[in-house]
Amino acid sequence: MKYIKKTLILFFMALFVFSGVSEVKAYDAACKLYDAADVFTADEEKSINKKIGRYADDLDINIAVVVADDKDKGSREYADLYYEKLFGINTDGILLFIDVSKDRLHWISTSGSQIKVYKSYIDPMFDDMTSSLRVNDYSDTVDIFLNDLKSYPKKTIFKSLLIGALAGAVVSIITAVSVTLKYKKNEKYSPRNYEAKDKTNFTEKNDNFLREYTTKTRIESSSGNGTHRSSGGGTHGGGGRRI
Amino acid sequence: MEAIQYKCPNCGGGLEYKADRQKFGCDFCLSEFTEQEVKEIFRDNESVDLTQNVRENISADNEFAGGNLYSCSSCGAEIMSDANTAATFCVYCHNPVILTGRLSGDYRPNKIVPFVIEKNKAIEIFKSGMLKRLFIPSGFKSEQTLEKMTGLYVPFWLADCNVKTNMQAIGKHIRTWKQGDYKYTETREYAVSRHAGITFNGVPADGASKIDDSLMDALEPFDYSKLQNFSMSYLTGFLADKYDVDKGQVFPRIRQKLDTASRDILMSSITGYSSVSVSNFTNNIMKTDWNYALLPVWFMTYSYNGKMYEFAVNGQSGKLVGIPPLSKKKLFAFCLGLFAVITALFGLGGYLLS
Repeated sequence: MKYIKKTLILFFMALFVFSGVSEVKAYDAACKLYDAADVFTADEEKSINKKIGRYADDLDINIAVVVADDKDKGSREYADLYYEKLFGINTDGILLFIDVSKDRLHWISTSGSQIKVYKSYIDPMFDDMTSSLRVNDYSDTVDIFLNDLKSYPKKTIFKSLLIGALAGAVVSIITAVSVTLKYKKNEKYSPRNYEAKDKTNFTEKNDNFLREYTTKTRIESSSGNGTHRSSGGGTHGGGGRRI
Repeated sequence: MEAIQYKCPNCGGGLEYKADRQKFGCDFCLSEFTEQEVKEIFRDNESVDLTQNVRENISADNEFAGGNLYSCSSCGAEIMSDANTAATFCVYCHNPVILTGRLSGDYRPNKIVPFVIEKNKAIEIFKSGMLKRLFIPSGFKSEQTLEKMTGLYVPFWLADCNVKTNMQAIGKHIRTWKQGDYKYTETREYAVSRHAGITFNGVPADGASKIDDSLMDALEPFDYSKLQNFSMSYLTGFLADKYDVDKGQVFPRIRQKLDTASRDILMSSITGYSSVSVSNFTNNIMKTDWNYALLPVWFMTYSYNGKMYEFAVNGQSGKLVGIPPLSKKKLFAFCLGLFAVITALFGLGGYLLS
């Protein structure tokens, strides 16, 4: 009896411990702030790490923020490789690189499914962060970045609903008009069916070449955040802005 | 003017042509006769001379509101008919009556397509046809809305025409490709000309002014391989009209049909182009031979919400034409549903992408 009691206590303790661990560590431990330039205080770093963890958990993606002042390569390559070092190639996530070097080319690198999700929002996200980056308020920058991660995909749903409503309205109107027309007129039988086919005689069938001309128009190049491959082999999306 | 009847040789009741069995039957003693038997029994009726024009002497006492009065040889009652009626029924004894004067001389039909679809089958066709229509009011399909149903031999002009047709057009081959930052479009233009002699057989136009032309145009085609030489016996049990619109008057309708058909035939011979624009088209009718035929049509008149709706069923093929009322409520509900589904699908797509 004593043995059973002990076993049960151990089982529930183990259950409690493991459930606790799984709750805290639902996101990857690498989801945090990497402040190589020491721009954040310890308290700020702690608070940001907590927030990054919560957002990574809520969105089920990898999130990291990197701050550096001595990058040894271009911002895009630096951000892409940093992401791959933390999470591996082509995993689903996003990384914000705050460039505090003289170059000040900040970069957002997206990977996996998140390339498509944030494809249209890289520029708006930088628009949101610009004023904070200009005054070197990095804590506020990270806050805005994390909030945008949640709000922009919601805007995607809203945008899709709006497009859907427009498409639905157009299809519904076309259906209503075509049905109404069908209830107004009898369909005619094609008189061509009275042709005695074996008696039709083409006495002239000429196709004479008249002229030829060629025109050219400039193709408008599309400016979007396309994908690229890093030297590490992963595919990334994203974009940057010098502020 | 003579009014003849086909009476059952066994009981004296009226004989009617039974479309479903393609025989003549008596509803009183249920006797049945083949076409050949009827022609032999009613040799006198069949040999009535229809070649001469009959001048209708309408005296003051037999003229009735623009129509005429005849005496039923079965019961002696007076039969009223309008000026174009060629076959009808006695309203008292319900025996079929054929007014031979309306089928004589210029009004003598060459051909006839006998009824194949009988009355109940025509109602069935109407009901199943309406079931396919999603947006008609539910109450419209009920039997109570059927006001009138008539099996009528409609007078039709069938034109056999030879035409010479000619078309000039510009055909364009368009090829596009990309090179560098530019899109190139190469256009090759050709002068296209087509000239053809085309024969059309049996282009129809009804010769009854009281019948809606668009309804009859939609009712085509009739299978002309089943055309019979005209015999009055086919009319017994149905109504029939003589034409009141002559060949000259229907000719513009025939010409319009021939123009549409010829243009269509020439256009389909111009192939391989990205676009074709016609600069000139002529269609000259060189020769026309006419047939005056009676073609079978079931007419149904439905009354719904104080408005009359007319339908017709081709008495040979069973093709249903006519425009039913539109239930705006049903259409609105359908479009609303469509709108909701499309919006939800786009929303779901957006959600899955986010």
